[in-house]
Amino acid sequence: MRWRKVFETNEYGKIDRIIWYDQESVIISGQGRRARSLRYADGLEVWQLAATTTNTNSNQDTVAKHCQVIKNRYDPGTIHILSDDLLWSVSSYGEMLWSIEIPIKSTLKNLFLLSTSQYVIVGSLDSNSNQLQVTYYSKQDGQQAFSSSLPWSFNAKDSLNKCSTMNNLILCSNNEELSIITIPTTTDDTNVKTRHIKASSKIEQIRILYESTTRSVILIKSDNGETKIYQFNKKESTSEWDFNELNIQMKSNSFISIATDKNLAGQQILEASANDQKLNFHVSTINEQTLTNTRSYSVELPENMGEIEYLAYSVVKNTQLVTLRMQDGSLLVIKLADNGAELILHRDEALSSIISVETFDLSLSITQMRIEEEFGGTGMFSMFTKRISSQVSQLISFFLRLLDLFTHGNRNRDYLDKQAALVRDEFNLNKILIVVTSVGKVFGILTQSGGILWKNFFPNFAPFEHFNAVHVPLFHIRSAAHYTHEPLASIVYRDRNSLHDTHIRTFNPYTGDLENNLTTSSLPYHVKRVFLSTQAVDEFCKVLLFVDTNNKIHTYPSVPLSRALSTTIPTYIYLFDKSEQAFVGYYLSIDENDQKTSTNLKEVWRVSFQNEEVINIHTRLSSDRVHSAGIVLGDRSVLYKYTNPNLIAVVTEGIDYQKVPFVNIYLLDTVTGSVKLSHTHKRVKSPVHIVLSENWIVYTYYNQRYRRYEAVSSSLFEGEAQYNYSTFSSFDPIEPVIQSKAYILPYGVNAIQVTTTEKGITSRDIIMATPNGMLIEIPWILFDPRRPLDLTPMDREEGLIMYTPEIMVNFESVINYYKYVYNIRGIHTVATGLESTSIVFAYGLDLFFTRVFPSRIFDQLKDDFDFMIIGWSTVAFVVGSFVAKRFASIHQTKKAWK
Amino acid sequence: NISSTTSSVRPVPSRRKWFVDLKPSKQERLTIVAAAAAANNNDGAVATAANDAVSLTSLGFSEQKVADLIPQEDDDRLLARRSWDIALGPLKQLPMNMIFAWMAGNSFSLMSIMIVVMLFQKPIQTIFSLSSAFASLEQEGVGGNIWLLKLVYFLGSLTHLALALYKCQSMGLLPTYNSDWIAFADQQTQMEVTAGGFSYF
Repeated sequence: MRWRKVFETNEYGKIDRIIWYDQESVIISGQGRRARSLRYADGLEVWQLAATTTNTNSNQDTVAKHCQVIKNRYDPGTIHILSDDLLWSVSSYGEMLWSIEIPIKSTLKNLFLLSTSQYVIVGSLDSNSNQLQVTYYSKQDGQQAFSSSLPWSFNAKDSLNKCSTMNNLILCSNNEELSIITIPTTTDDTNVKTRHIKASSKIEQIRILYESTTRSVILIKSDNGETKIYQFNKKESTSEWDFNELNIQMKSNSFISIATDKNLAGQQILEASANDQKLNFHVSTINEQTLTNTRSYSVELPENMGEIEYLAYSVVKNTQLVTLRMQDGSLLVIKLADNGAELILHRDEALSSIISVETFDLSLSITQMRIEEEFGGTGMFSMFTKRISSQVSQLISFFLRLLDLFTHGNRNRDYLDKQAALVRDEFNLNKILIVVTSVGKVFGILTQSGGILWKNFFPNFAPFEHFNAVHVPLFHIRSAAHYTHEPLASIVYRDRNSLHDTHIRTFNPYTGDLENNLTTSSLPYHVKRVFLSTQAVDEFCKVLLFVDTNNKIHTYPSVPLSRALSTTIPTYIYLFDKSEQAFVGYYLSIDENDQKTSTNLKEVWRVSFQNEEVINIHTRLSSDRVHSAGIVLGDRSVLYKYTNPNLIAVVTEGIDYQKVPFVNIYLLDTVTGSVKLSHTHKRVKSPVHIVLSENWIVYTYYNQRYRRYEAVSSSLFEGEAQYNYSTFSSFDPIEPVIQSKAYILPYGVNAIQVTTTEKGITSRDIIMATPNGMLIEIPWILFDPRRPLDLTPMDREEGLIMYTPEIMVNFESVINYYKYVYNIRGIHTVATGLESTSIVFAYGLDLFFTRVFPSRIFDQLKDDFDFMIIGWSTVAFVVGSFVAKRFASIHQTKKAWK
Repeated sequence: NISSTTSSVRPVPSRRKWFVDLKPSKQERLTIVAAAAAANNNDGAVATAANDAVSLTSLGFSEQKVADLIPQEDDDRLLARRSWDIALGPLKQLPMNMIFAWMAGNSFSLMSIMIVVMLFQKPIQTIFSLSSAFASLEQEGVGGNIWLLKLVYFLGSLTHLALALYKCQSMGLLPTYNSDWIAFADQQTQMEVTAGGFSYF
């Protein structure tokens, strides 16, 4: 990759249209409010222009903004942009030619933008009189020249969805009819002509394939799969067009793209269709009314990529290149040559849309398995025989390996290396990441190399909606701990076409092979929520539990609930209902002898929110471990932590009676429905990023009043004494003591997460992804709500730092150095076999993986530890002591002789 | 070994202070002659051994022990004084150790840790060497109140141990607070399990 330019994450980064020139391209973004030019050679942003608007507050966000961008065909260096009521023109050199604001009327909506050699024409719909008002503005200075109006039968929404513009034509589909409305281009000629094309069934889509001042090609797609292509030719010295159909036999799923080249006589038309793992192309030249010189190509794809989503065909220096975006997010570039088609580029762009991540431990090596087996027995005699037999087999395999080394040498080294990559290392540092992307492609990625081990594409995939994000449940059905059984992972997703249908796919995370016994597409109920059972059922497999829309709980595969859930510990289930804005808690009672596979849920509590809208729910990581029950204070007494594992964080947003926006944070106990903490922040903007771990919560938000990012940290304590040291119940009458502090962050926040270690002994670090591409590791001590305002010796004894509102970040704590990663949406942390080490995987537009050591490396030798010096000096000391002994005895003897 | 042999005394019934018999006995003379002959014939090692043998049985050496002839009443007084000296030895060292402990301070440094180790080591050593400390007295035949002496000696050592413990306490080394045991506390078991989240529909 030569260069890359990452645009803003806000609306200004949303690209409306790209206009391609020879050396650079002009990119219009932010609903027609920004224009910038990028040079192809080096990716340099040559210029940037912002639209001059005076009435920004008048109708922000309430009306869906609408933007049209066209390149003037008669003057290719000029671009006209219509953004709601703003009309402006820029030249490709970065000069703003003019900008005018079209008077606003509530009934008038600006819809169409056309251009001629002299005028820029805006078509506005007057919804009162059902007339399309056509206003002509001078191309040179934007002065309004004249206007006319014509009857219009569509409403505003239909006009936007069903109409397109081309030169001085407006094309609108009306069921089975395509209306072609010719807008006159000069003052003398005021005739509006309308002509029609009939289609066999309802028209679904009109696409303009090619557009020039004299010739255009459009595609009309009907909902019965029929596709027709029409060619438009301009009549001499008028503003009218002739059209004729091009007879191409097309498949229903094929895509069309047209390329022109100066060397070619006409245009070349490319038809592409995907068929399983094969792409078929047909290239023809357009000749007046017929197609000639048809050639066919086909190329085998390395994997199933679904349908074509986007196709572009271009001829660059006599090389025919086809660029495709497939349904699975793959970017393909295919070169068509005389000797056939060739795939020259394949990138898995789906990796930039990861929505769920899970990590699996790698499998044990054969020797590690044997050790597990060796110490596996119970009886004294069986243990003894096991040890002897396994040690004999180890000896045999050792000799076999020696023999193999002598006879084969290094011949199968590559194969062995590949096998070794899949075997767990000594400290379990290397794992396999299973990532699910929003397009339905699942990847298995090895952490030590970042290499993709396998990929699976599920074509009918649709994720679940999760407030403003999407979400796919991904579960460990069977972990890698059971070395006799391969691990299993499950994903649950909706059907793309019928959103109430739920699919379950279970696969082996090492190979991606589907486990067909645990894969289904038909659940007889509508799923409201899915979660994993607490207990393994058959062959160490956990089962999935589904809550359906009738508040009934089901198991998949069907097993009695009494086996899937603990019968001694009661289970509570909470669900958030978005339409009611309420959390509802349910109690699940299971009798030990009950063989029912589904049962009804009993509602036990309900928390509903009024005048505020829940925008996010955050749960703690399932791997969260709390090692110490309390904090040792300076006077050596203990402050016990309130570590309630049933807490969830709820973020709500609203506007109070003074029209001040606010954000509320609650900690909700999901067993009792009681609120343990509530914070209100006024004049604060979401997104709120939350970390909930142990007995504390850290969250960040944007403060609108001071225009800065802030973090609030709160800890919950039981106090000087513990209510019950052996068990914890949410029903215990504990009123947690809350301590809070707010801090100012030096950067904005894209995502936030806390490090995870195996036992939770290591101190915690907060990993923060910033908009400028950094991943910062901040010790939690800096966020400690107990940081005192003035430091007493007692606090110093405890190791507290004096409170300063600013969190200072030095550049050493940037864990990705200069490998900046942008638009990070989530961070995943996993524990390793070493207590000091936590794995960090950040995903978004870019992916980043590293290991962090929050308490430094306390359980391993440093990298620069010199084994040679230690080894040789030990040997030297041993030898030296023997030599010295000898010399000493000689010396003694000599002395005795004196 | 060579030097120690010269100060030996031969038992003589009279009350003279000391005396050395310079005339070698017949046996001694024989060994000297044999050793000289061996030195002429053999190598150096044997010669050294012979030389040792000669020096071991040098002039004035006697195998027999000399009975102490101090008058009985005088001996008893001295013996009592010496035995109480031994018994009170640990107690007498206590002030010095206290000064040591005070000077070490309550902060953690190499010095203070060494002193704490020493404070523990010494009384334990003295307690274990209790019987050997009184061994000479027992040989002298003081049997009556030796138990009392041992008890005093033992208690004296215990005061040292108490001092060491006090030192540890003031340095915060003794696990007397809750906080010292918190690392060993088991995790609380959960009485409830929850699951859930937002509903999809």
